[in-house]
Amino acid sequence: MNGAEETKNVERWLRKLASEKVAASRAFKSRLVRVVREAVLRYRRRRWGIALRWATALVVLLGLIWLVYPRRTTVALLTVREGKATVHWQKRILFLFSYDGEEEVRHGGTISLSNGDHVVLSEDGAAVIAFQNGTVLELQPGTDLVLYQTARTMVTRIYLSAGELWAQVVHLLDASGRFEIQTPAAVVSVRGTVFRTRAQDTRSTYSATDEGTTEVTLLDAEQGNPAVEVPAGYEVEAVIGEPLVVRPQAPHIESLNLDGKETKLAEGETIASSSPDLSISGQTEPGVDVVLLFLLDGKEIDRAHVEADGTFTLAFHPPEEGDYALCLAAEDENGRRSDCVDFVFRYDRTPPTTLRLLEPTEPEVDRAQITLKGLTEAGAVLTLNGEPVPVADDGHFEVPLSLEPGANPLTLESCDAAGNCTRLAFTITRR
Amino acid sequence: MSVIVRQERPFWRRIFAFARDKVKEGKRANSSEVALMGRLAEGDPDAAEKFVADHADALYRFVYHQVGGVVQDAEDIVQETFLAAVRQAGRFRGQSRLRTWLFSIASHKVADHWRRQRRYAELPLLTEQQVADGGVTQEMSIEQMEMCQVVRQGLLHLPPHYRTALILRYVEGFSVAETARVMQRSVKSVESILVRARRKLAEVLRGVA
Repeated sequence: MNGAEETKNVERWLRKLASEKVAASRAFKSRLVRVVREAVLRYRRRRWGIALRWATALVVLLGLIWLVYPRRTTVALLTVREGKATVHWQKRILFLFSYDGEEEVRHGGTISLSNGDHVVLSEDGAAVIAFQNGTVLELQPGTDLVLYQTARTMVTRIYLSAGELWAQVVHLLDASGRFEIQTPAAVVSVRGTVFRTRAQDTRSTYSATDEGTTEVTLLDAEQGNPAVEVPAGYEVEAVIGEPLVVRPQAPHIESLNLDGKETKLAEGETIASSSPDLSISGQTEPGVDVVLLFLLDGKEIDRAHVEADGTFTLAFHPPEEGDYALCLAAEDENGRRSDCVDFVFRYDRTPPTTLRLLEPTEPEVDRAQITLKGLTEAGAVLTLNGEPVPVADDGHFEVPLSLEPGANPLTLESCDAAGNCTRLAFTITRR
Repeated sequence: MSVIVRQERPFWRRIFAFARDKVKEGKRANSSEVALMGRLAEGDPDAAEKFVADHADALYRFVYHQVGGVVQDAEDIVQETFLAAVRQAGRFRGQSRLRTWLFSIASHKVADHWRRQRRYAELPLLTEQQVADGGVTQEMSIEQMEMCQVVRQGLLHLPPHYRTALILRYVEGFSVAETARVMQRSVKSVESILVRARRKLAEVLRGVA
């Protein structure tokens, strides 16, 4: 038998097998239906079980993510008013890992600050940090600080490396609550006050208290880290290697009355008067319990107690004409004296000696329009028939003038800063 | 020296067979099959009855011939096949006909069965007495029943994939392409298997049938 025949035979045999009626028994089918039904239900339950397990795993995973996700707790809000501020931050993951970042905030921008954030203000910058309890820090240009606050101990600590900040700290209700500003040289610790702190360099820090009380600790181990309380109106300059001395703040004069006129007094300026009785009435901050002094060459010439509303009056009677370098200082009941607010008082009774007419040289002219030229003292205030005339730095002046036909009476008046005046009256005739 | 000459079918017959295969193979499941598997995947127990009614007999026949007509083994394998199908119902995307998919699962189950039993390796050669012991059907003559049993026993002496290929192709009437899909082989490979399986079965049954 060859291969083809064998193949045909095999096919024939197998087709006989196909013609055999083979079928599953009815009992088996019934059992199979029951088994399959149960399997369907079982797998449905298992699928739900699997879904439940996945959901549980997902919840656990989300919980873990929530635990390890680096969250930053906002403790304050920084608002940049001028320039820009750079905030360097660090995020921690499970207390084991951390990564750093940096964000720049420009004029008008706001950013949330968290513990450990490092704020650097540009040299032309100004910003405000507002805490949730109402405490406000005003940062001056170039301020460099690190913020740290713990909710558990209610301690807020600012590490001020450079720059100046003005702080208005609300009263802390918790007895253990503290607000501290640490500089390289000192720690200023407060519990409800208004104060200013400036880290001048790594060895000195200035702090002034405007309200309440601050405690300033000098970080000088050789001196035993001395600490002093700085009450309102006082200031301290903590310098490593030097004693810690508290002194009254230099008087801050908000307004000044000189010979019945309201005027401004800035440190280093000159005020002049023709009156031999100098009386300065001013107003400083209310409630400051100090005595104000007039000093001339370090010697006291008058003292006045600041009234409850902050007003005071000091007098000086110069013996003769001249410039007097005066110092306005504050002194407390213990004799601690503030720095001086220096200014110069000029007692001058001599009117300007120079007032000359240079043009026209003749009293009669042919033109209707002329230019009046002349010379007076430098710095003098000049008027022509009561109208102001500008004077150059060297004292020369010139003013255009329209003449009426016939005689034109004119008056020049030159007055110095002390109010002494020289008058020159003349007539120019237009032919 | 012997020369094996492969006898090719005439060209026109091959074209006809190819066209017939293409028509018959029905590559994809119809919508009712997909819907049925979808219901099973969603856990609808009522779908189980239709699933079994539609496919139990065909699967049983396929398995029955592969296990040498042992009813208990055939029922166990069919049940395992259905359970596996229910378990994987969610993965049935209708890329093939449902029957193809089920037969594919069943062929794996049969392979697992033989791997466990290793029966085919232990089987003795067929004897006249074994031929006389066969017969499970009622509407065939004794001679036919004997013949079927002999062929079934002969199939047991073939490697499993030979047996699967022969049963799918000649007993179940699958096309070559569909057989290839069930066996997860290429058409060429199945054609080759069929040639070798026929020759092997002829050798086994030589002198017996």
